[in-house]
Amino acid sequence: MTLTVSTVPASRVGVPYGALVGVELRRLWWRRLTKVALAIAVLLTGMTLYGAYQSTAPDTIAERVQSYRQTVAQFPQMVKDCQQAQAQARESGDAGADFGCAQLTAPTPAEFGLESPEAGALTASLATTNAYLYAFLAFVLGASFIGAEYSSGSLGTWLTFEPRRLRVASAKLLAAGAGGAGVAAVGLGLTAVGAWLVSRVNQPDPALQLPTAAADESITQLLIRCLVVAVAAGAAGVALGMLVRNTGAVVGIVLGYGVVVEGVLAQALAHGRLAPWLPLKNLEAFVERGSTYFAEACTPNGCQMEAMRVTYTHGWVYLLVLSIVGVIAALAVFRHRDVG
Amino acid sequence: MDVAVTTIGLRKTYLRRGTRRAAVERLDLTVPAGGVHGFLGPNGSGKTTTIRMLLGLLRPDSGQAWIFGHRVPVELPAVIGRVGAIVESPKFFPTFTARQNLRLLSDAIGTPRTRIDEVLEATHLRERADDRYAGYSLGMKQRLAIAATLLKDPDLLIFDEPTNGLDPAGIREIRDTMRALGDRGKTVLVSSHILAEVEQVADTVSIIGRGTLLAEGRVADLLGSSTQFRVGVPDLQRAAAVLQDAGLPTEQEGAFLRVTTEDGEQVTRLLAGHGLFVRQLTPMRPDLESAFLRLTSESGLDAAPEAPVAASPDELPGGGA
Repeated sequence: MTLTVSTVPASRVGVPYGALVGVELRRLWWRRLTKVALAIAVLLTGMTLYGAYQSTAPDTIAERVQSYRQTVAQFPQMVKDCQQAQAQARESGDAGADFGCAQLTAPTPAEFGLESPEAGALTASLATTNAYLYAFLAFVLGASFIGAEYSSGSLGTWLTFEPRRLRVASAKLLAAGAGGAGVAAVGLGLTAVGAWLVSRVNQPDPALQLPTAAADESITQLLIRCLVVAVAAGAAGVALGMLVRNTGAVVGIVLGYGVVVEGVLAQALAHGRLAPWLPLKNLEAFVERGSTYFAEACTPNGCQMEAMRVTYTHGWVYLLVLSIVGVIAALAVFRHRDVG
Repeated sequence: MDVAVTTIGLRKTYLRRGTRRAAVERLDLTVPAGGVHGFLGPNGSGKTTTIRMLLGLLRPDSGQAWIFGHRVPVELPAVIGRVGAIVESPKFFPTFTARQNLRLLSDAIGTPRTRIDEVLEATHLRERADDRYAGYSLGMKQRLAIAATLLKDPDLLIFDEPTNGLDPAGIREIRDTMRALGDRGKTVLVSSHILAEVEQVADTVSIIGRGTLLAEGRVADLLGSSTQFRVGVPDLQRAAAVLQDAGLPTEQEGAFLRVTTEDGEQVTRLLAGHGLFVRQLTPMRPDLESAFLRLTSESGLDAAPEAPVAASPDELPGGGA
């Protein structure tokens, strides 16, 4: 080696924090997994859009219209049959027999999915579903972002260039959050554009006079919430990665938790009353502005399962506290732990 | 004497299977500024642990350390720009190219991009700069690590076992590099368990065993002056008698004599005076290896089993690696 390098001195005080975040973002962008995550987001968004296109296609609508009309035509006979069966039951000794014939209502177009596709409603429906997918991709991206540094040992090299660990850790959290936002933004943008195209292409015959489905809330607010979830998921991936130091272990822990704790144990224990304190249930409450769960409610007369609700406010407060605690724990561990 | 690195009472223990063991035990180390300083000791003697503590990667249980007068790790940010280090094997992102890896590091410290090409050129990696790091040979990885340290133009370079796994040409290249850096006034702290390798390049050395300093100083001082000579003469029996009669302790060693004296000229003069003409006179200079073995033997470290230690009262939490 000749070692004929110039003596241009490096900065002795380090680069500004924004530049450090920029370096982390550059590394994130260079990673293959980032491109794979983007490709998966695009692919799965495309698949959900195709599903939406199929379910609102004119042929499908025509079949539903036919089915609806048949049901409407048969409805009086259904009521009559119900009343006859009820009468027979009463005649045969069961005086209190009530088949609920009075509650039978005429079928509505909405019950048959007969609504004119509207871009906003379609976007809301698809974004709500896809938000969880984008969040999971952002989470894996974040976990792998820090996991790769531990597995390759390059974190040690990095810290010999920038030893201020809180700066390093927070820059990684920010970059992963931004990466999660990027994946979600691409997916949600595609969803919005795709939903608009589907609504334009699948305009039903005006003669059918179908009602137009309207979104229940502001689409912008929903999309912002989906983005926030992706940002938090990316940062959560890094935070858990800092604690566990292995991408596979992080993903395994989260999937295992989802299946075992939220899927099985939470239902089996405490008769469903744990639901308001479970992260995924609160995530659902945040994204969908509330979430329903079934838990046992007891009165002096006995206990029975009842539908209950985790509110939107409960959801976001819970997630905010969980995120703050998680990030503080990750920063504290990252700051103090030996780097081997 | 200007000092690059100082440690006082540096101590690091690990908890393994419920027992706390010392990797570094109250180490007092002084590395003079400028030149090459060998940091010697057998595998597991605490060299890498010490270096990691200097770089803030490990937290010492107790003790203090300074680099260029800055207390580390507290003041490490103020001095890290003057320190380039390769700890154990080079570690970079395997799927990134050499240039990408260097660019990330370069941007983290704010060096101009042109510097990347300069250090790649200096380490003969420019033609392979856009190849993935995972495809590099060990020698190339080592050269990339050196290139990374040169991004900063550091005053102190720390090389931890830099020749591990290298072929003879690679070893020589690294050795020449260290020597060249030392000659340019940089401080090179090189740790190694291969004593002969460091002996060739180091100006000063510190020798540790079981995490404790055994000796430090200039290589020549540690080795001491030559006190024995290997002598080749035609008639070994008569030559031995002549030398012993002159009061020089002499032993036969195969086809040679081993004579204990500091004056080689006296040996040739005595033998020539008796018509015995010396065909070979070789000073038997002690090497670092024998000095190291002597030191470990004197301190009882060669035979004593590794003993558990009591936890230091000022020990920091979370010390496991």
